[in-house]
Amino acid sequence: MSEETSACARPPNSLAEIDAEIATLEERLDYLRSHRNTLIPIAHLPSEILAKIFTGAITLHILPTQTDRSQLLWISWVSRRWRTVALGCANLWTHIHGRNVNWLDESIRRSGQATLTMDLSITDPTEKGRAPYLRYIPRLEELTVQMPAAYGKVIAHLWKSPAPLLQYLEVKHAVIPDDLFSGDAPSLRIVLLRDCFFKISSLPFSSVRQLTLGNYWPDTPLFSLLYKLQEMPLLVKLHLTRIEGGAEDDSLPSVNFLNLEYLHLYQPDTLTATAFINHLSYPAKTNIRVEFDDIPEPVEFLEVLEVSEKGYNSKNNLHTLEAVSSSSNYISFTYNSESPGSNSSSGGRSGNISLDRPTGSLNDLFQLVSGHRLQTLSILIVAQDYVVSVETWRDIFSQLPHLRELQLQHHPADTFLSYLVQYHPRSKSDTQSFDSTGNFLIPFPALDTLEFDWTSSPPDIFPDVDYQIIRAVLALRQQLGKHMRHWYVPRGVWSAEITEMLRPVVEDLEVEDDDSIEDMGSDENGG
Amino acid sequence: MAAPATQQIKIRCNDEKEFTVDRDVLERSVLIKNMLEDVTEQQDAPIPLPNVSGPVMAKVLEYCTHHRGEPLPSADTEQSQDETRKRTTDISEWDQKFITVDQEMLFEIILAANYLDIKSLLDVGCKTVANMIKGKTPEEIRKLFNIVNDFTPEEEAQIKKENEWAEDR
Repeated sequence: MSEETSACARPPNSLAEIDAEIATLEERLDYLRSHRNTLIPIAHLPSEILAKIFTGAITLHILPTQTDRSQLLWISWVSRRWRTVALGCANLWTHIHGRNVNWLDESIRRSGQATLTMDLSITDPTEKGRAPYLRYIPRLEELTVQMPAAYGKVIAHLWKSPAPLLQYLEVKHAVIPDDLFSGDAPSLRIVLLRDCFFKISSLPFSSVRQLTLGNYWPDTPLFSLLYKLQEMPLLVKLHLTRIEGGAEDDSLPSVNFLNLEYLHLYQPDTLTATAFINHLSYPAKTNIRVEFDDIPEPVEFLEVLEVSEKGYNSKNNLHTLEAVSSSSNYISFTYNSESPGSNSSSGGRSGNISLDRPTGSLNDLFQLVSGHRLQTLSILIVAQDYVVSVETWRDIFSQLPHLRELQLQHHPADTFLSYLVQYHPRSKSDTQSFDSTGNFLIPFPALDTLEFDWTSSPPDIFPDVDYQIIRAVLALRQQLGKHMRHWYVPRGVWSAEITEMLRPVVEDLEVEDDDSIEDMGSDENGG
Repeated sequence: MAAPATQQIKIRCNDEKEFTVDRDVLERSVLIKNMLEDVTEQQDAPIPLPNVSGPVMAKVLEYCTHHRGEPLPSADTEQSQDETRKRTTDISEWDQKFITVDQEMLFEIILAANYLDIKSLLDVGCKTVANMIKGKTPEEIRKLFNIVNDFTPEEEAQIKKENEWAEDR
């Protein structure tokens, strides 16, 4: 009998002996567990390869999600070796995020000297202890800050650290000092400042490609803004909220953006927006979107539209100007300048109008633009109670004889077909609707492309008119050939028979199928 | 005139298994490529590869043969940084099928790729293991790789505290 077996057979008599033996056994268990982990296949991988695997498993995102962060912690809790490897891999711990300062300190310690991504979103007075973490600005590649003004003043000096590595800066609700980063942020590419107080002339944004200045940014005179923008010739995207207080003025500087692709003015006053756009020069590809607080009358759109005619930019340089209202019933007006080689005759503009939940009178708007030789009309109306009457449709098409492409979504699509079947009454003896051979007459002769989307139509929108609709559709098909496309029909709108009749004549006819209904049902059932 | 025959190279694994392989296939391995460039005279003796077994080498050669002729990954630092940033775990269909092996073989392939310096194969292996880990809790990972929890009670307490810190948001 071995000594060990003998010891097991003869239990110790005193508590001290028992405790000593438990300790010995626990030590032995610890050793065996750790030793066992060295014999499994994955244990053969050297630490640097294990670290490479961890890096691949952690995140696919520049800004990690909650799942990414949990995964990182889980990896470090698998075993002692995995924890040692994970804690030794500085690049895994570079996202500094959370409310707990112990955790922030621990993450920073583990990140070694690697560059950091930091999120300091402070919304509660109890969290002000995190404000001093701005001292890590020199190590930051990305910084997101939300900080009440009271804390911002206390730690204003921390904002002045140079930021040689910083590429992304997002600040909300903060006071930004005049000498931000002491003017040293050569890598900064994306800047978003929302609800912040700052003096724009002092910001070091010369290398910025995307700039968003949102909400409470101070009353900066238009010329100050334009002078600052002159320092940012590489801008690709520019979003400005609530610029105001400017007007046409020959003394305003002009800004030449060679790379600008997108300009968004949110809730400006009309005069400032016009003056601002008129003092920019940009490539033809630039898309300009002006979003007003509320526009009761369509005529105000035309004021903006005139920007392209009288301003710094010739109309040939303006690619797309879109003016929209951000109120709940908004209207959007998209104007595309004539492209070289377009076949519209001189004296009027060709262009596109996009109406999105329009307010006011559609007739007024169409009268205003009727001289534009409108070729494309896109209408989306979501409001259930908004009806484009049959009479309105008749007026619309009488004013738009050059219309070639029509895109209708939701209710306009419904009432448009109602218009067809009502405006062109029921029998072949009606010579307004049918020609001598009985063919259905289309009231808009230039139309060659038609897109419909009935996505949210109520199923009873066409009571008892299925066969009149199909006659109208077949007539349209005869005129439009293959350009009648993308019809989406929810299940139950039309009978299966009508749907099957449409299928061969409408390109891309998409009918909501039984499977999708079942899927939706099972999702709901499954919670 | 007939095209010059591709040079054949002999290698010998740690289990004495020998392979005769086209030089361009073998040169997917930076280690072997450097060895061949260092040898100026024609050698008949096989190149010894003491860290790779025959079955694993057979798999490695299958990979190298499939990818022969493809450009070798650049050592450009900027590109490497970009790859790290994206941390992509996409694996091509053929590579996925190739790497569908038991765990022991998977880790042997990774070790061989590391030793032979075949970066693309090492990446495929590491991405495969990374994908196996993703979304799994510590207990699930332990079960997957047959790992036992070897933390001491003190270490467990530290981990619990760390969890509370991290969850405080």
